[in-house]
Amino acid sequence: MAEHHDSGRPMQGWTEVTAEVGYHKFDTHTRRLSIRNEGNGTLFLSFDKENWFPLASGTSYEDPVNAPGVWHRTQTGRTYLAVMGIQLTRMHGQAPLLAP
Amino acid sequence: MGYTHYPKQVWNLIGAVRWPAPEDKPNFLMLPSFSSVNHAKAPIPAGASVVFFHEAQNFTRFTGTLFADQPFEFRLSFSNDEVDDAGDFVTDATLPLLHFDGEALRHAYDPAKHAASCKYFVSTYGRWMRVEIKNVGDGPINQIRAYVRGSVF
Repeated sequence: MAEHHDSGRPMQGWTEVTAEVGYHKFDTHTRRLSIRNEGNGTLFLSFDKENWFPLASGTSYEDPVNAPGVWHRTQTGRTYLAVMGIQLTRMHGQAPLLAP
Repeated sequence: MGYTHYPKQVWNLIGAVRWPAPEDKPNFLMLPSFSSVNHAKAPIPAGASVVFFHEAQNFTRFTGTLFADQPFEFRLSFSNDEVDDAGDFVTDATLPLLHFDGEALRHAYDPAKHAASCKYFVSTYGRWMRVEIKNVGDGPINQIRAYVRGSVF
């Protein structure tokens, strides 16, 4: 169970995307989300697996969206999806932030 | 917080033909391995070609460098087919079957004139791209380095 308060922690991800529909699950819901297409193919994204929007190479989607994850695919070939999210909730057992 | 919307990226290698192929090792940090874009599987016999395809839509132009121990023909062609001959949208399986009517570049690489023939610059002309390297020398290509990089703006 996640503690339901705003953790504000960064939540990062990097996923290879192919023509097969895939799902990138976030650790918790987000309160802000940036997704960047770091590959060479057009990235198609969906938050409900029904409505899709494209993201060209080298461009980003950014919104204060609350989402548990994102569906992804390409039409051909592969590309790479980079995520920078902000956690909405702190995971159970997650220690307080400390300097390294 | 937030990525820049400046449309530029580190990983812009569309494809490569490099032989002998380097050992497959992890790339820097999270970047894909070079072997994932290297289309060279063996020396290229005289008269034979290596061909690969890629979506071209995200790129405004393509650049690269060439080297080999035999002369070869380097061809970049583009297709604007939105669907295949059956009317279906394009997939990985049907991409090689499209009509690549737009030959953007037919470039003769000659190892005897390396400086004059070792680089190229091509604008995009379509949605899909076909790259062909054809050995036009008398013997097999035992050493080759050919790269295709794309620029998104």
